[in-house]
Amino acid sequence: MDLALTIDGWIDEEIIFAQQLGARRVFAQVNGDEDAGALAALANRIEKAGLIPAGLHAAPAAGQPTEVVLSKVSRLALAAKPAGFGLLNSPAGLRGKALAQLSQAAGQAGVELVIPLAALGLRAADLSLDTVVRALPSAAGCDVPPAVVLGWLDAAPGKALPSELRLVSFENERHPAERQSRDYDELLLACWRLRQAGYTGDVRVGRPVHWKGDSLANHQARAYLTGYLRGALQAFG
Amino acid sequence: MMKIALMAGLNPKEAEFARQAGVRDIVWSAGANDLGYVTYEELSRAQEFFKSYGLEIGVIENVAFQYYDKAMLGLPGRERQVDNFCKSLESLGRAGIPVLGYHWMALGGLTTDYVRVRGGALHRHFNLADALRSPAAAMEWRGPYSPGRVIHLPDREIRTEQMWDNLGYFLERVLPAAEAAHVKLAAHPDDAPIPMFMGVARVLSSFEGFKRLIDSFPSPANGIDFCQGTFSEMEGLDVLEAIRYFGGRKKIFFAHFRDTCGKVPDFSEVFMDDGDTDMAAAVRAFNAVGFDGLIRADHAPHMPGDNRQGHRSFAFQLGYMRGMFQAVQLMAEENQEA
Repeated sequence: MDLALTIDGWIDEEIIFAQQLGARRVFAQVNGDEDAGALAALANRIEKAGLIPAGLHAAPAAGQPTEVVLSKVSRLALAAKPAGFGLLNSPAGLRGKALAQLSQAAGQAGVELVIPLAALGLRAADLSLDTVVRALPSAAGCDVPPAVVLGWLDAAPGKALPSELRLVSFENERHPAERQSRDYDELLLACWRLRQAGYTGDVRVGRPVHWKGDSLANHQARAYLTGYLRGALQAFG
Repeated sequence: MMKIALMAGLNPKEAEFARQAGVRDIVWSAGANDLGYVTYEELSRAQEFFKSYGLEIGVIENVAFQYYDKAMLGLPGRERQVDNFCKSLESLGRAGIPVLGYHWMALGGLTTDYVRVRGGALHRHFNLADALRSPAAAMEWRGPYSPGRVIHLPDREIRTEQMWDNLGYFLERVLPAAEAAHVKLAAHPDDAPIPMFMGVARVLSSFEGFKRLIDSFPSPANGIDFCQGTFSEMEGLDVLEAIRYFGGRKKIFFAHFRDTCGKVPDFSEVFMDDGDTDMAAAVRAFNAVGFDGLIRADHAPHMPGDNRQGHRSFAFQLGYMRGMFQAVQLMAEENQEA
């Protein structure tokens, strides 16, 4: 199990930030306008900095028609693996038929598609890792928050993790000021249970709650969350 | 369980940062005034300020150096400084602040340079040979971050036993005042932990030094600010054993969480996750001896791009501490249940 950080790999400060935090595995956030050459250059920037390109995090600009988004992300899927990115995290806005088409394109390109929970359109009452896995297009993996993982592991202790679980992401977490010193929230418990279950994927620091006085890129908040996970993972061994 | 603390100044930016990082306990350092001691009014104003952010001062770390420099050096005028130190203790007692951290470094802290490591972060580095070659430079403790600091080169030698006499004179008089005020005195190790520099002894620079401090002055108010970073710099010292030894005797009143690579004569401060110490084992050692005081995130590598207060770096450190402390606690509880 490794810690990964999402960064905008085109911004030097972001790459340096990942280095400073000791986050070697990075997901490069891309908007879908990148061609194969640009992705290769992006991977090169990341690798030259001593980091590992764990995957692409597709985040097309909001407000675009579904067919445009699908076209862009499909192009990313085709270009990802030759550029050195073995995993593509699809955007939450692609669902249903478009998601199935994207999954097909990714499969043909040999890149692993990882789908976030929000894209699967599951009702909260039906939410479990089993229903998530069943809702996935074939050959796709899932990117889920820690609560989903915990629910599944607590309900079936000792059961093997589904191979479709490829990414556990921490985004929009509660502000640290809301945590008490003994409050084992979902982040910590999820890491521990995943470690015990032999999870070998990434735990990803995404977009946290904004801190007052922080940069627009949420450097302090991301540093805190990365440090939190680093401390927990080092303690777990 | 020990409580994560942060040193903060009396400004909204620092207080807000501490609050947002989930810290409730503050370590504060009062500045210098013309009276020569920390007043209750100063403390009270600081307490009110931090309280408005939901924070509480748990430790006063250091009084101004010039409040007790004569006591350190054994110079005329030390009697008045010792009396004033007792007044500082009375002020803390009246304000209900239970711990006063202090150091006994007559020449201050020592650093020889700053080196760049991961992501270009600046690490404090100390090399004894370099310090001996450029002693004045080594005394500029925080380098470019201490503009205006005046370095006082010593004009005399103070041998080891003389320095112990000076410390003894001081403690024999201030410890009763600390007891009366219900304040504990927490001695910080000499950083860099070398026994002598420019002919001036540094007596709190080893395990044996602290053992002598504790054994020679058996007051309940006499204890240690266990700066894990500085202890890890001590040649030949096992940090975990030191925690167990002094913590087991309930003599750790306050702690700093930090790690280094290397030991005297050459060491570098590093990010907490990147040093020589098994930090999780250190946390377990603190827990095993029942230390439940404040442990603060100590000075950290400066990250380019960070603000002047180093909030990105401290955010990383505070998150690291919280994650590690909670993880250790979780594992311990599950082991007990099993």
